Amino acid sequence: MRLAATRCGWWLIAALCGPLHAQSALAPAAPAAAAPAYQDHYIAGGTLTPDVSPGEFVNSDTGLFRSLRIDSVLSYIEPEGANAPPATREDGFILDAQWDTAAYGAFSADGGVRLGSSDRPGVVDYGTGSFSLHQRGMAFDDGWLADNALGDINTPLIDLAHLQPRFILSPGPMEGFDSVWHGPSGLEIVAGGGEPGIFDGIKIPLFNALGGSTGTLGAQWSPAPQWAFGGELAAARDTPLYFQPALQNVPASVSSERIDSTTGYLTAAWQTGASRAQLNLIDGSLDGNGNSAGAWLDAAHTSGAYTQSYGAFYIDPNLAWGNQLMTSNAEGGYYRVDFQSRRWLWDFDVDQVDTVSGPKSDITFVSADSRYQLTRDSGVGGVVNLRHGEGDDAWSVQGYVDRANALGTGRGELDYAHDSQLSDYTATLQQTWKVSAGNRLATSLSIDRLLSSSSATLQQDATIARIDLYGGGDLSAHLSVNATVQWAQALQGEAGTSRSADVSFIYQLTRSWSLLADYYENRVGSWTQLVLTSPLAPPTATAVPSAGERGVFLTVRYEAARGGHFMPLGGMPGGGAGRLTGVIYLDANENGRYDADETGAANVTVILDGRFSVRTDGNGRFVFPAVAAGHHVLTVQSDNLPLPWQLTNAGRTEVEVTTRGSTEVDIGALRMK
Amino acid sequence: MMSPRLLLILAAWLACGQAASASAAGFAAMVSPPRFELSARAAGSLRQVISITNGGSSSANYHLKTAEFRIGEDYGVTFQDALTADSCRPWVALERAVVPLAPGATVRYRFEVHVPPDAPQGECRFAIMIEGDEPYLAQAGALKLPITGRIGVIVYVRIGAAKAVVDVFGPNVVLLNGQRLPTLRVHNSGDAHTRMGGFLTGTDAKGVKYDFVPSTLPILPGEVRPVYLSPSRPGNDHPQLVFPVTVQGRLEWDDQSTELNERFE
Repeated sequence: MRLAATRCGWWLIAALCGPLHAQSALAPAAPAAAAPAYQDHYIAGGTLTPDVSPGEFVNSDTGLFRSLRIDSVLSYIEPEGANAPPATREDGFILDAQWDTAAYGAFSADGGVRLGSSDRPGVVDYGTGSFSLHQRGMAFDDGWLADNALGDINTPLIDLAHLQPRFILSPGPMEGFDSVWHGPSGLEIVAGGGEPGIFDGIKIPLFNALGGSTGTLGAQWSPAPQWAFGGELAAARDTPLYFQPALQNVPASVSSERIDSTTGYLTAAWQTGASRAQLNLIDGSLDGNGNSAGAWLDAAHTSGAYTQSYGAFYIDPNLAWGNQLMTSNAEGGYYRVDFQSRRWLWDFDVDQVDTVSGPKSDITFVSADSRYQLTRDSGVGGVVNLRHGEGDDAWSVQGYVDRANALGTGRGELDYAHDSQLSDYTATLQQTWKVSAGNRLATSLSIDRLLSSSSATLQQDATIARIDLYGGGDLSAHLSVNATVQWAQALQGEAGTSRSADVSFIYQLTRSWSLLADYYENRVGSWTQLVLTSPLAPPTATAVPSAGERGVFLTVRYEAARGGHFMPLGGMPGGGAGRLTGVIYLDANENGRYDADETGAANVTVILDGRFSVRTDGNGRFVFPAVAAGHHVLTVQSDNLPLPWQLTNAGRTEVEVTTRGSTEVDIGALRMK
Repeated sequence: MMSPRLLLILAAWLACGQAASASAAGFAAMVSPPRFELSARAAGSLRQVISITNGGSSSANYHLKTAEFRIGEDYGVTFQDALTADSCRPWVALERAVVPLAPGATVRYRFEVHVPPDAPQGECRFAIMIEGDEPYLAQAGALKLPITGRIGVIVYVRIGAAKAVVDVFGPNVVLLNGQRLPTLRVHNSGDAHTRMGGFLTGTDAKGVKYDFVPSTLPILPGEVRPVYLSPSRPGNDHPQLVFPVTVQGRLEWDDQSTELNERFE
């Protein structure tokens, strides 16, 4: 727009004030036109009934910002599969509230209450509700800030423990409290404790307590800008071990035995503008198995378009962080180089992972991934993975073409994967459709041919057609829809059908009242694709029993917000506000888009400006209903992301929210490599 | 007595620097999408929706009408109400002339384009203007100016097989925002607008390698426009070039491209 600044005319103001063809124009009143005005034509003579929404539910006054959303839910859920239990219900209430205070920081509360007592097949038990209250940004003298939480939350971790490219300390869910204090010189103190548990629920967030106890205490300090040191102690007593689900759409599980664990963690990090290194030491015991120790070093250096990462690790068997089982019994090293330019994107990894004790399992994993932008509208790419182990060789190749077309953006992809028991050929067509503003639609169609060389994986010998759809938008000013549908059917072989769907219609009755109707289905088929992603994850696809459930949900929603909106950093108080929505998803093909065949991440905490938080729903979607217009930063606590997924830089995403606008942001988690 | 030119600059400053408060006081609308790029065939029809939200704190009337638009030499945009000789606005039907909106309410405003059976291949271009009720007085210190808030949504409809036909000539070096930039001149002799793109690389007099990004401003049929080539390097999006500079690669527009190998000095 600065191009226009050299010459002036009355309408130049339009170009100065907005994108050239956004044409935001504020201009002096036009003089009386000399020529007769043109008379526009009107559809049906101008008699169409205007399609007008009731408007947003925010009312401004002089108080500080506060908002409330209450969902009243009625449901019917029907389990599917052999020996399925009777139908059940998940009726109840969902609460989401945020309010700002002048002296005690910002508060966020969320929770759910399930009414009735019917059980639902899944983990240990079906919880009856959940609740959490977060207080963030309570200021004290000398630059101290405190974040406190109680209820169904995750155990706290020092920031340095989150910055892990390879091995992570997984903060487990618990019913208890935590407190995190940030002070001068990068000082951070964390403490928390409670009863371990599991998050559950389809629409209503539920927490299922497991018994026993867990607690953690840690601190970190930065004595110089380049240096930071930290340490944390975690313990669990008389509680089951928690296992992250190996497959998407499968509930987490826990061990039948109860364990005790005590683990200490020390870390030192050094960072300049382009280089970073972090040394981590861990020591602990799990259920009386004796002392176990570990150390890992990660380093990275960026020079121009190249980033090199390397590290070495040694971790004894039998280590847990609280009641969360850690990746352990591994030693080795890795090297990775990334290159990024406008046209090229490639990386190369090599890993060596050996077992420390027990049956020998030395694995070499090599991965190369590249993408080349052929033209403005088209690009090609490919991925090669090689895994060499003790009788465990596997490899996979992928090639794809991306092309912008008249209907949107499409991708054609061919995959082949092979291990000692399976060969898996897949052809996929994906399309992100060009739709009108405010709407979205992506589809995926694939054919998967699984060839089994083992009678033990008979159900994996099949040809499967799969269709995925992800979309949503406004059907009218009152009615909107969100839909995620995945369906897979065996064309040949014994593989069971896999279906999942979440289709929501939202009808806005008034400014504050809405009706929601959802159809939900989650049926896991008896097959999975063969995928090689990491030396730490086994490549062989697992046949699982075919089971699932489906149901309908009817929800009455009340939303209200009042007050002058909180002041974003660098912003002005009392300004307008807009809606900030999005999805946390598992970016399986790492293309940075939420494709139809990808999955949202449920129960993940999304934090706005380090102050307000919400938790994602069963589809990974989140909403901040009223956010001050201006620049904001979203971060994500990846505590409940399924392994091996992680978010780069804590999912930090910068967004611009416009007054009464709706800003959509999708944040993709990547597989840890 | 203040000169008209000074008044003009002050008005521009008012409109930009005071945009937020001016919006709150007199005209606040959120419009999406900012432009349409559509295709149709002769005798075909299109129906599209513009989403307009009242961003103010009180109810407002929004007046909608079509207009001609022109992009000036400096990429400034002018709108005019009077029909031009080749205007396609008679093909356009709007939903209604005035839409009242409560604070925060959104209207899905419909418009249609009915292409006549005998319409020649080409491009129909028009703007839909969204205006507030009345001019209001914007104040900057002691100065008050009558301001009418308006937003223009540009609509391009490609009819039949219309396409841009581009000739690239140059090279040239221009001073833009204090930075000397290699520049091409592009003539569009086709019957549809286009925007340039592509992947260009080059080297300056110090031997430093750069990627060059062509400016993507629209080039309407019959026009000759400058296309600025902005250099970038990893970690530095605003490097200072040392001329002479050589640039190679493919310059792209729509589904066409041309090889470029030029020296700028």
